[in-house]
Amino acid sequence: METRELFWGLGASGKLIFYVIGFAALAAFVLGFARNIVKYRRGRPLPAPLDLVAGVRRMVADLATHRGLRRRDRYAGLAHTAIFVGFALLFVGTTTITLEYDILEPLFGVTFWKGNFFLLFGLTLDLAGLALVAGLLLMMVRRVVFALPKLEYLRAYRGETELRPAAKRWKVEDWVFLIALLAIALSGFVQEGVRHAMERPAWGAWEPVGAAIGVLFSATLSQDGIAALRAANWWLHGFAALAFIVALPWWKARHILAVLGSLAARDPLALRRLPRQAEDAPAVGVATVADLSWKDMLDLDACTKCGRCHDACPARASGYPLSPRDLILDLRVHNDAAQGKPQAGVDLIGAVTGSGVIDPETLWSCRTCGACQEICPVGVEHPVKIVQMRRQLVERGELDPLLKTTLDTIANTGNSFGESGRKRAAWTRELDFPVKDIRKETAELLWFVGDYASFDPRNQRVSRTFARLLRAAKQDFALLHEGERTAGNDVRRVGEEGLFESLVEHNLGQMGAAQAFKRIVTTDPHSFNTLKNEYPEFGPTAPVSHYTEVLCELLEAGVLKVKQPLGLRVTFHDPCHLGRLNKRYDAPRRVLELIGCELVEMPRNRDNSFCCGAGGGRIWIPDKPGTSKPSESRVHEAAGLGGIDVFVTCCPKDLTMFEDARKTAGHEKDFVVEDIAELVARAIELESLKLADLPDFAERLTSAVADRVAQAVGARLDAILAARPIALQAAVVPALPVVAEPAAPTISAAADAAAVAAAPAPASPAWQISPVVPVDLPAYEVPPCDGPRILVTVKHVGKLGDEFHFTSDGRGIDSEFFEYQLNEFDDVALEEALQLIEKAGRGEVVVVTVGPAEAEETLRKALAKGAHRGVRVWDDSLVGADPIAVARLLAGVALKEQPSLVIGGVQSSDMANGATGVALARLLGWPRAAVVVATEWDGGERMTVTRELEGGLRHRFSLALPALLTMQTGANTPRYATMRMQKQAKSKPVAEVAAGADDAWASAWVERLAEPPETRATMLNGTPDEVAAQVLQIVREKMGANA
Amino acid sequence: MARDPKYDILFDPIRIGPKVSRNRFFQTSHCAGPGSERPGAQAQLRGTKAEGGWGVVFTEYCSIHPEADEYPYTSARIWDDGDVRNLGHMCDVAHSHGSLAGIQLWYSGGNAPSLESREPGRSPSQWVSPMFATRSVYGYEMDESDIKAVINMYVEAGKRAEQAGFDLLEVSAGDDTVPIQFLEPRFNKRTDKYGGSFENRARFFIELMHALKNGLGDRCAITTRFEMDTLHGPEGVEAHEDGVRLLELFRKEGVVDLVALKIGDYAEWGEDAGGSRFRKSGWMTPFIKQGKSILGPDIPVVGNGRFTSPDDMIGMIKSGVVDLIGAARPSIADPFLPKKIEEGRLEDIRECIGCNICVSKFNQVGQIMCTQNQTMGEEYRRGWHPEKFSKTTKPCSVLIVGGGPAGMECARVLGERGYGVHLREAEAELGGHWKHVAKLPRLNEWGRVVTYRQIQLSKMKNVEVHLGVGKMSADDVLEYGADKVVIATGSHWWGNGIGPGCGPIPGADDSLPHVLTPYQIVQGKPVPGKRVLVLDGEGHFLGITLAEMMADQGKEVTYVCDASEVAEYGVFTLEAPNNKRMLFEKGIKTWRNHWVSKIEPGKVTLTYLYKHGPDLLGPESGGIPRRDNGGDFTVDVDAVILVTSRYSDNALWNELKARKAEWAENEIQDIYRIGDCKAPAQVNQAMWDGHRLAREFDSEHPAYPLPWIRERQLWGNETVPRLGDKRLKVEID
Repeated sequence: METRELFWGLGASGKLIFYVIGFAALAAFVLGFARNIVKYRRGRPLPAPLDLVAGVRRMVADLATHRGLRRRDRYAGLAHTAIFVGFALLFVGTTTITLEYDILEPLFGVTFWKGNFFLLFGLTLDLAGLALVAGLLLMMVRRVVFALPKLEYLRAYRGETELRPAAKRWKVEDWVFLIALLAIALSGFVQEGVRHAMERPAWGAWEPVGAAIGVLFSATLSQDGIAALRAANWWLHGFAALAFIVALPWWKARHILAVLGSLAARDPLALRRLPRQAEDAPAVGVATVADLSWKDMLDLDACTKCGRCHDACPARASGYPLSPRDLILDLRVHNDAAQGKPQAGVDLIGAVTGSGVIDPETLWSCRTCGACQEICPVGVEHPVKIVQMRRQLVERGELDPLLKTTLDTIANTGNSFGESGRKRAAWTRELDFPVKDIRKETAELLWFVGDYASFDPRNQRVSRTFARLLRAAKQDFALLHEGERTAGNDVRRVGEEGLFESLVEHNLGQMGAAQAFKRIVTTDPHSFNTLKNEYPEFGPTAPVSHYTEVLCELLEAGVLKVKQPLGLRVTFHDPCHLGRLNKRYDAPRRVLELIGCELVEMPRNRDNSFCCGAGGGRIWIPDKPGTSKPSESRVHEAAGLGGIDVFVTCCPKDLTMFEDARKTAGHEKDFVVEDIAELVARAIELESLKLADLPDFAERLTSAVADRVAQAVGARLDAILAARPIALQAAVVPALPVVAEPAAPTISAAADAAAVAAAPAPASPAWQISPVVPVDLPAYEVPPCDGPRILVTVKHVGKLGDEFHFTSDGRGIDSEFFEYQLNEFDDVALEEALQLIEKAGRGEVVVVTVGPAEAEETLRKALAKGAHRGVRVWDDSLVGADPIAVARLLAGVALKEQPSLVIGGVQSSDMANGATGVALARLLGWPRAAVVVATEWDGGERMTVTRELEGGLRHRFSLALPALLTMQTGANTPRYATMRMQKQAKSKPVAEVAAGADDAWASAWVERLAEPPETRATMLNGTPDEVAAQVLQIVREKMGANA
Repeated sequence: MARDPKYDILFDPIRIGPKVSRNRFFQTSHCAGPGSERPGAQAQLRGTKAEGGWGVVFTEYCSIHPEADEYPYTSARIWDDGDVRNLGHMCDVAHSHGSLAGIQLWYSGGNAPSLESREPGRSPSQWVSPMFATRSVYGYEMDESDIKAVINMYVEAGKRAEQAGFDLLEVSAGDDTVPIQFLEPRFNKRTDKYGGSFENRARFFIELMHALKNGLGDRCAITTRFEMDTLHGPEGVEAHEDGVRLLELFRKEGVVDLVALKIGDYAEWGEDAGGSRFRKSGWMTPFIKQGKSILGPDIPVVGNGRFTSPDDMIGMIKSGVVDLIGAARPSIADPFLPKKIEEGRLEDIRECIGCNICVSKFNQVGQIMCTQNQTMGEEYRRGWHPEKFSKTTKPCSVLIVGGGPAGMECARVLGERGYGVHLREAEAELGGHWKHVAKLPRLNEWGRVVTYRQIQLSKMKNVEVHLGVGKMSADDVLEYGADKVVIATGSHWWGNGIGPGCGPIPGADDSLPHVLTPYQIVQGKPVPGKRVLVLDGEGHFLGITLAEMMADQGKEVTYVCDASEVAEYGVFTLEAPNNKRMLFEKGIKTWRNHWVSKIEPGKVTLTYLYKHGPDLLGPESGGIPRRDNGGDFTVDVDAVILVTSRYSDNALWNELKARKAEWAENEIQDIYRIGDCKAPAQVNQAMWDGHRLAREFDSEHPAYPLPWIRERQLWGNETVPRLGDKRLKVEID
C-alpha cells in the first residue's frame, strides 16, 4: 500500500516538542485573529442590510475565477492565480493529513491517506508546489524587472522626494512575504527530495518533483549527508510554516483572511447609492476611526497595495494630492494603532503637517468617479469613505469658499448657477413648440433636465436638440419646469447630506404632486444616478432612463429614421456616472452605430473610462493654477487616436469640461466636441419647424403680439378717436395728359387746377377727403439752362448714436442726440446726376430739399460737390410731415423747374419709408425706376437704367424722359468736396421757397416712442474660427437639419 | 450721460484700513520717469489720473533709504525732508481730486546698484545679484541687528511718507525686494530663525508688517504688493506652496489692510506687465482668485490684468476674484478711464494696446511715453491735458495728407481744437501701415490705435475723413483750397538692404521674386519656397513677428540680426524672454551678431560681425586694419525678407517744398510734415509728432516745438539735506 510516514525518524520527545510548538503557534494565530475580530466589532453596523448569501456566492466566484485580479494586469493575475491555487491546495493537503493523523485515526481508526488516493494526493501537491514557486518567482521578476510605477510608494504626486518611514516598511514587508512563502515551498520540496533519495519508493513517479530532487541528492550527497539534511530541513520547513501561521493576522498576509470578508460584504451599490447618515451615529460622516463600519475596517486590512486604484485615479494622474491606495494605507496604519477607537492627539481628518492622518486637501481632490473601487480586486470601497469624511468636513465648515458659495447658491435658488428658479425652463422659449408642464398635464415621459442642461448656454442647445428629437419622434414628454431643482447627486458627493435631503424632498414632492407619468428620462448622468439609485430610498419614483437609452430605443424602433448616415470617425467618452457606476455602456455605442458613425475607442473606455474631472462637486471647485486637468489628459488621449472628427459626449458636464479642455490643451483643430443628441439630430435631418406645427407656432406668436398691441393701444384708442377729427386723404390721379411715347415733357399748372376741380366732394362733414396734388408754390427765380436739367431731391437726415433719450412727452427724440448729415442714398443720387451732366458737358444739377434752415448745410454740401443751384422749401407746419406731403412739395418744385430727370435716393436712412420717390413720380405722372444701380443716357429722349432686384437679379430697361429714378447705394462712389469746392459752394445760389402753412401736412402722428424689448442676443467669443463654428452651430440649430 | 447701473459696483467706496477709497479703481505703482526729482511732473501725472477718477494713485517704486539706490533708473525716493516736500505736492494734487495717494516702499538690498549713493545694501544672505549681474553687485548679510535696522528704515520712511500726505503705505514684496528675498530659498540661505522653514523665511516680512502696523497703522493704510508666484519653481515662491501660506499668515496675523497680488519676479517682469503679444487681459486671474480665496472677505484684494473693459472689471469683482481693479497701463493709456465709465462714454475709452512702450522708456532710462496717449508725461512740462484742448483763436482749414497714425492723431487734436480738417487717405481704410501691423500674428490688440481714432474722428463735425482717394500729387495739394497743409505720408522699408550703419546688400532688390519687404508681404507678394530668412535691422517687433508668421505658415525660418539679442528692443518692452521662448518653440534658427553680405537666388552669405581679429595692424589705405579671420558662410534659403531699415516717403513734401513760391498764390499759409515722413520712428513717436504739431498749431513757428518746463536744481536755492546734516540713525546698538 502506497503511503509515507509522518514525523519520520522523530522520537516521542521530538514529536512532543513539535506539538507544543504547533499548538502555541495555533494559539498565537487565534489570538491575533481574535484581536482583529474585536477591532472589526468596534466598527459601526453596515448602513445597508447585507445579503450574505449573494455576497458569499460572489466572493467564491471572485476567488475561483480570479476575475478581479486579471483585469488590466494579466501578468499579475496569472502569477497570483498560481500562488493562490498552489497555496490553497497545499493548505488543503496539509489539513487533510492533519484530519487523518490527528483526528480520524486516533479517534476512529479510519485511514484514507494511502493507495491511489495517496498517489493522486502526492501528484497534486507536487504540482501545487510547483505552481506556488512559479507564481512567487513571477511576482519577484515583476517587482524587479517591470519597475511598475503603481508599486512605487513614493508620493511624487504630492511632491514628496523621500519615502515615508511606513512606506520603507511596506517595501520590506512585500519582499519578506514573497521570500517567506518561497522558503516554505522550497523547503517542502527539499524534504520530499531527501525522502525520495533515502526511500526510493516504487511509486516515486507520482511525486515527480520530489523524485527528481531525490535523484539529484543521491548523485551529489552521501547517504549520511542526506539523512542529516532530512532532519534539519524537517524542522526548518515546520518552523517556517508555523511562523507564517503566527504572523498571518498581523501583516500583508492578513489579506488572505480579510479578503474573504471584504469581498463577501462588498456593497454592490457602493457609491451608486451612498449611505444615509445614521441618526444614532455619534458624528456626522466619519470623524474618527470609531465612525467607520466593520466593513470599512475589513477593507483597510484587505488591501494588498496592488496599486490598481493608484493607477486608475484621475486626481492622482493630474497631480492632485490623492492616491486611493495611499489613503487606504494611511487609514490602515492609523487603525492598526487605534484599533477601532478614537486616538488621543490624532485627527483622522486634518493637515498631515499637523496631527492629521488624512489631509482635507486629499479628500477634496476626489471626483467620485469610482475608478478606484471598480478596479479594486479585494472589494475596497474608497470613495464612500471619502464622502463620509467629507460629510464631517462640511459639518465643520471646512470647505473651499467657492464650494461653500455654490452650496449656498443651490440652497437659495435650487441650482448651482445662481439663476432664478423661474428661468429653469427658459431654454424652451426658443423652441417652436410649447413643452408640457407635468404639474399641469399628464405625459408618458418626465424629463428631468438638470442644472447644466438647463442653464449653461452650450448645453441648452443640446437640450433644445433633444426636445426636438423627442418631438420629432412624437414622444409625449413634459418637464417639471420651475418645479425642478438640482437633483443633488454631486451635492451628496460633496458631503452636504442635509442639502441633498432637502433637494430630494423638494423634487420628490414636485413629482408626487405632478400629473401622471410613466417613466423619467434625464440628459444628465449625475441626475440619472441619484434619481435611479438614491431617490427610491426616500420615496416612490418611476423607472429612470438616460436619454441615450431613449434615443437608442427610438432609433431601433424606427421612430427616428436615419436619413443621412453621418460617416464620421468619432470617439466616445463614457461618463463615470453612466458607465462605471451604472454599467450603461452599450446604448450610446449602439446609437452611434445606428447613425452611421465609425466608433474608435480610446484606450481607456467603458469601465476604465477616465473621468473628466468634474464629478463629486469638483466642477464647483477651481483647479489650482498650474495643475493639469484630468479633462486635458483625456483630450490628449482622444487626439492620440488620430483623425477623429468628433469627440462624443452624453453628459452636460462632460461637454463643458471637454469643450474647455479641447481649447486649453490645444486640440481645437483636431476634433470638435459634440453631444450625441446633436449627432442624432444631424443624422435624422431634424427640422426645427414642421409644417404641421405651423398653426400652433403662429398661434403662439399672434397671441403674444396681440397681447402687446392690446397693452399698447388699450383704452386710449377710444379716447384718441373721440378727441381728434380723423382726416383721411384719398389719392386722386391728376387729370394729366396721358404720357404716350414719345411724350413731350409738358406739365402745366393748369392740369394741377383741373385735378383739384375733379376732386370728389367730402363724404361726410366729419370725414374730410382732399385730393393729393402737387403744391402750388410761390414763384422763385429759375435761371435759364443750356442743356438738360436734373433735379436731385436730398434730405437732411438725423443720425442717432447708441445713446439717446426721448423727449419728456415721449413723442420724439431730443435733437441734441442727433447728428445731421446728407442722406447717403441721396449722396449716390447726386453723384449719378453730376456724372450724367459731366458726361453731357452741359446742363445743370439742381438740388432740392424740404427742410428747415439747418438743412441748408446739406444743400451746401451738395453744392460743394458740384451741384449748380439749390432750392429749399419749408414752413414750420411741416414738422412731422409724411412722405406724401413731402412728395407734393417736391412735385411743386418740379413743376417750376421742368427738369428732364428727377433723381432721389431709394429711401432716407432715418425713416426708411421709401415712399417719397414713388409718390413724387405718381404725382407727376412720370415713368419711374426704383432701386437703380446703373444709368446709360446719351442726352436723348430715352434712357436705359438697371435695377437691382431680390436675389441679385438685375432688371435693365429703357424709359422715356422726363422720368424719376431712385438710386440704390453702391451704384457709384460719391465724391468728396475739396476745401476749395466747399469755399466756392458758399457763393452758389439757394432759393428759399415758402411752403405755406397747412394743418394736413401730417396725416399720421407719433403717440409714443418706446425702446424695443431687449433681445436675447448672446456674445460669441473666441478666435474667428471658433466664432464661425458657433455661428454655424446657431444657424443649424435655428434651421434644423436643413442648414 | 449717466453710467449704466450695471457698473455701479465699480464706484462703491472701499474701506482700506483707516482710509476709504471713493471707488474701486486702483492705480498700482508704475515707473514713469519723474521720481522725486521732478515734483511737478510727478504731481500732474498722478494728479491727472486722480482727476480722471482713479480712487487710488501711486508713486512709482520708492526707495526708502540710500542703501536701496536704483540710479540711473528713476525711482521715487523718500530719503529725507527734501523728498517729503517734493512728493508732498503729488499728495496735495491727488487729494484735491478726492483720491488717495499711495507710496510703494522699496528696499532692494543686495540688488541695489547704488551708483549715486555708493552705499552697499543689506540682504538675507550674500550672493551676486542676478538682476544686475554685469555690475557685480553684492549686498552684505544681515545679522539680527541689521534686520532691526532695515525694519526701522521702513518705519522711518513710512513716517516721512505720512508727513508728505500719503494715505497708503505699500510694502513692495515683489521684484526681488527684501521681503521676498527672505521668503525665497534661492536668496535666503540663513540657518537662524530667519531662514530654513517657511515660518522662519516669512518671519522678516511679518515682523516688518507688524512694525509698520504698530507705528503707523492708525493713520495710514498698511498694504503690500505681493508676488504670489515668482515663477521660479521650488527655489522661489510658488503660488500653491509658500504663496498661499504667506497669505494665510497675513490673514491670521491681521497685519495688512489690503493686498495687491501679482506674479513674476524682476527677471520675469514681463509676466506681470505682460505685453499683449504674449498675455491677454486677465492672464493672472487664476492666481489672484486663489489668493483671494485664502485672504477671505475681510482683506481687500487688488488684481491687475490690463483690464480696459468695464464688463471684465465687474466680472472680476462679482465673481469674487478681486475687490479693486488694479491698473498701471490702462491708466496710462487713458487716465480718464473711470470717469468715462461713470459718464457712460465707453466708446471714448482709449484702451491700452499692451505694446509696453511705456515700460520700455523706463528701461531706456527715459521719460514715459504711451502709444495711445500722447499727453502721458507731458501734463506738467508741456501743460497737455489728455481730455482738454484749447480752442484755437485762429481757425482755418487744414488738409492732412495721409491717414496713418500720425495723420489721424494730428487730425483728432486739430479737430478737438476747432480747426476745419480734411484727412485724406489714399487707401480705402484708415490706419496707414498700422492697419497691416494689426493683422500680423499676436498684434491684433494694436489695432485699437486705429479704431479709437476712427471713432473720435467720426464724432467731430469739423473733421472730414476722405478714404480711398488715391495718392495726392503736389498739384492736387496746391489746388485743394486748404489754408494749411500737413504731410503725413509715412515711410517704407528699404528694398535694397540698407541697414544700421551699412549700405545696400549686393543682390538685395525687392523687385526680384525672392527678395521681399514687409510691405510687399502684406500686399500679397508670394514668399517663394520653403526656406525663409528674415533680416532684422531695427530689432523691434516687425522682424520677429514676420519670422513667426513665416514659421506658422510652415516655412523653415532663419532669423538674422546684427544685435547681440534677438528683437533687441524686446529687452526694454519685457518681451525678450518670451520672444526667445517663442523662437525656440517654433524652431526658428537664429543668428545674432551677423549680417547678410550677399543675396543670390537660393542662398545668402552671412558675415559674422566680429570676424576680424582683436589685434590692430598697421594702417593700410582702403583696408580694415585688422586681420580677417574668416566668418563668412552661406545659408541656403528660398526667400529673404528685409526688415533692415526705413526711409521717409517724402517725395510729395520735397516737391511742395520746391514749389514754395506757389503756396501764396494758392492761398496756402504753410505746409508741415509729421511722423515717419519727417523721420521714421516708433509709432508712438510719430503720433506724438502729429499731436505736438496740432497742440502748437497756432504758435509762431509750429514746425518746431515750443520750450517746455525743465525741472532741475536752479542755482542759488537751498539744498535739502545740507552738508553737515545728521544721518538719521536706524541701527540699534
